[in-house]
Amino acid sequence: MMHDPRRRVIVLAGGTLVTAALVLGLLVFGFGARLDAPTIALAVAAATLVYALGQLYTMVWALSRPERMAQVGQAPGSFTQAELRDEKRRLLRAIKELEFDHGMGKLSSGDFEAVIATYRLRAIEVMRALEGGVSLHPDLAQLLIERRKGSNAPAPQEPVAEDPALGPVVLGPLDETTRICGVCGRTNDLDARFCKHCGASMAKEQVAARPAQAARSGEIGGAP
Amino acid sequence: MSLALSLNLSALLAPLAEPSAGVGLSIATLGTGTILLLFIVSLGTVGLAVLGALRRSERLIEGSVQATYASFGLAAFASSLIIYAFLAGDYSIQYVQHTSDAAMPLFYKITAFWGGLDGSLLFWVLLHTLFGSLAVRANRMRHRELIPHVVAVLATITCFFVGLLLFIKDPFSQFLLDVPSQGRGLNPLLQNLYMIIHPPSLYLGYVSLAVPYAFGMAALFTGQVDAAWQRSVRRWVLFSWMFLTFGLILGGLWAYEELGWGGYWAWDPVENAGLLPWFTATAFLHSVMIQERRGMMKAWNLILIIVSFLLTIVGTFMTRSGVVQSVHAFGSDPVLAWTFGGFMLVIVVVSFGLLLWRLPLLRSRGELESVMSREFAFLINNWLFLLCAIFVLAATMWPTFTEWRMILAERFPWALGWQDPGERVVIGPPFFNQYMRPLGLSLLLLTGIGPLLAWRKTSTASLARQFGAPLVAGLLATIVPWQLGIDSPWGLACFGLCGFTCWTIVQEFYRGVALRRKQRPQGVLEALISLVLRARRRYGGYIVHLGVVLMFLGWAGNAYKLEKKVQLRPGEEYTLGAYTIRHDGLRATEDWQKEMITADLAVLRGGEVKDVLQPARWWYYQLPDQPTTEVSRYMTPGEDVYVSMQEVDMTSGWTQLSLFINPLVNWIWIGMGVMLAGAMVCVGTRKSEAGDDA
Repeated sequence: MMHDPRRRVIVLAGGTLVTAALVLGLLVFGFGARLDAPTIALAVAAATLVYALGQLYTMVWALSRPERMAQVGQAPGSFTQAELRDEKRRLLRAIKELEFDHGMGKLSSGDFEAVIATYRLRAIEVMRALEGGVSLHPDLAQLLIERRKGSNAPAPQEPVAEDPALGPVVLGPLDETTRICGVCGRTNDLDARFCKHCGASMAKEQVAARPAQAARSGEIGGAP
Repeated sequence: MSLALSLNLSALLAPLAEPSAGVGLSIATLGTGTILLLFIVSLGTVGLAVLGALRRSERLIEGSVQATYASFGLAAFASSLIIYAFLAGDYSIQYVQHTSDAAMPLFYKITAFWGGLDGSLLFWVLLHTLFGSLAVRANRMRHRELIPHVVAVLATITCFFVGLLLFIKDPFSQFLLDVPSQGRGLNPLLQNLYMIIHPPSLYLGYVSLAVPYAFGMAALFTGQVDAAWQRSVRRWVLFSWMFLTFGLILGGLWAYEELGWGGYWAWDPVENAGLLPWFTATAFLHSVMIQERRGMMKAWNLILIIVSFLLTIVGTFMTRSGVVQSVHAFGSDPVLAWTFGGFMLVIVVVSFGLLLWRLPLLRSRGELESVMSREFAFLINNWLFLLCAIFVLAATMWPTFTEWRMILAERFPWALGWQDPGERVVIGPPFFNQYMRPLGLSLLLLTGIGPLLAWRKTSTASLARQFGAPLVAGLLATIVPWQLGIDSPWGLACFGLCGFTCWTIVQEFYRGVALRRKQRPQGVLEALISLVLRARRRYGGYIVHLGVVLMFLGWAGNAYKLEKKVQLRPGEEYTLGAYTIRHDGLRATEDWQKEMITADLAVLRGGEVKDVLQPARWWYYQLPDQPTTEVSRYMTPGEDVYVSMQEVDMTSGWTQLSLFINPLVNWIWIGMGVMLAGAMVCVGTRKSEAGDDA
């Protein structure tokens, strides 16, 4: 009966309001009470009682369900798309702020480059994960492994780019990270959008849609 | 009549809520039963959450989350019951009888709910469960691993407070023998608008700090001490900070307008109790930025959150237990004092124990590279804020410690008899002012310097470019008041620093707008608005800083405030500073609540009548021996002419008046408005980024 959480909220809130109205009606018309402050307070109290009991029922109901139907809790350490998008937005904003500081003359160019490089790296990592990319650029993967060794994050042994549909996917061997250009036939990185030898576009349709998004990475927070 | 009805209805409803409440069904029984049920549910929540986290059982965790919502429902039900009891005048409940009477206006009857000790604890539980539910609801999809731990910590805190309600301070406890037919009424001093807003605002700040604490603890439990927990709590801390600020300054405004001694802050222990978590929360809001940017100070941030929460409990303890003497302590209660003491001890041991256990994970990723960096400015800012908190706490508690020492010396003369315990020490405002003045001014200086420094390292060339103009502004702001005849060094320093800091903020905005206009063609206003909207935290923060500067400007006015106690008869005049006060006569009036004597005082400046002030004394019929002082003031941006009436003799017309000229005082309230507006800018989020950092 209350399977959808949104519906459950509506049922609870609606039920509470309806109770308040019913009790008020009953008191005023049934018992002939005056419509004054105590009467209204009584109706509100009755409504909150209904809400509390409803919530208690929901609790019992949640406990009585079989394990797999619960809505909270996934394997720890997994990220949802929404979380990754949040992370990306935050990183891009930090980059933008740094650029702004640099523009205001607060940051020397050397410091700026040093600070911003770490943010860019992390942003690339997140965006790769968002695109559901199975593997990372080998240099980047190496860098990430080194970085994570230094950090305290509950990091997996190898950098992974999770696809929410498939679950965590561990990086494949490095030789799978190359692609052959369709025009000149020479090898390129898997994530190459243009061939580095002949310059021909290597983007598939779905990939082609994304550079536009990525190129706007400097733009923080959407529309002005 | 509706009372009788309610008995009927509660008789119908009671078996649903509390089957064991068999005999003598009434609102009181139903209320006590609800609190008992709430206690059981909270205990169950703790159990479910801990078991769920141990077994990684989604079913149990989901159950504990729903139980959190259910505790809010039960707390809301108990609160609505007590409000109903107030409105219906159910004087069989002791709490209702003590804090209300039938003649009180409807609005005050509702707010009497938090007017006394027992009710305010219930109000605390209501807010705590509400915030807990909201926080769990907002974060349960995003930070799944943290949720069971958050729920467990929040429910433990609920348990403690509900336990207090249940075993020590039941707001629903009844008169066992003679049920009075009349209420005793609320103290008239508390019957005004500020008093309705001021305590709940402080409460909101206090209670909402439990949420960041719960997330911090959850991060320590799970070992996920990186950035995730902070994203969930930064907003909450900002939210608590806003309410604390609002509540504190409103308390000052209440003292200024109601108490009639011409000031707004006297370092009263209970006001200090509100200030303590404010210091640490402010420190956290700054240092969290370093962790975000540089991965430094992880342990420090956790300590700040733990200490902030602990200080809210200390504050509650100070207000409720009567260990300190204050105008608004609720009276002495040793049982409550020991209970709170135990709770605080548990918090300290558990929190810091966890912190020590997880210390290896909390090592800093970056390190401080230069003294001339923003990190270092933030670090100093944090030390100063912590120093403020420690100083205020120590000075507030010192009289109590000396008293405890006296008691101990009496009880164990063989151990402590060698020293003379002396008398209970009183630490007054001058002592606080003496030390807080330099601390405050150093913080103001940092407010100016910090934003101009770069992360990591500021180059020397940049220093000159950043600090040239503000230094000139600061010098000007010192020299001009000096030439105008202000000779207090503290006052001059304060003016100078206000000028310096104000100019740094203006410069930040100016350079930002200029940079933006260089990047794209825009009008000045458009550039300014988009600048603020795009970097809300940064520019919101600057707006808050501007509010701080305005408040310091108001405090600087203290350096040349004038005060005088005078006796005037109708027709006489007195000149104070640039103003002349003329006594135009006395009036005696009365209404259904009180008798009033009002004086008409004309305020003249340069021979011209600027305003007619009407200070008064009110005698409430309810409390005839505690007349209240009604202040009247003539407000200008430059100063307040503030008059309160001390004594009055209706037969001869002799009126003893306290006259004050408080320069710049109104800038404090304006500063508060600016600060809150800035905080709103920081909190406010567009819909598209609503999920960013709830």
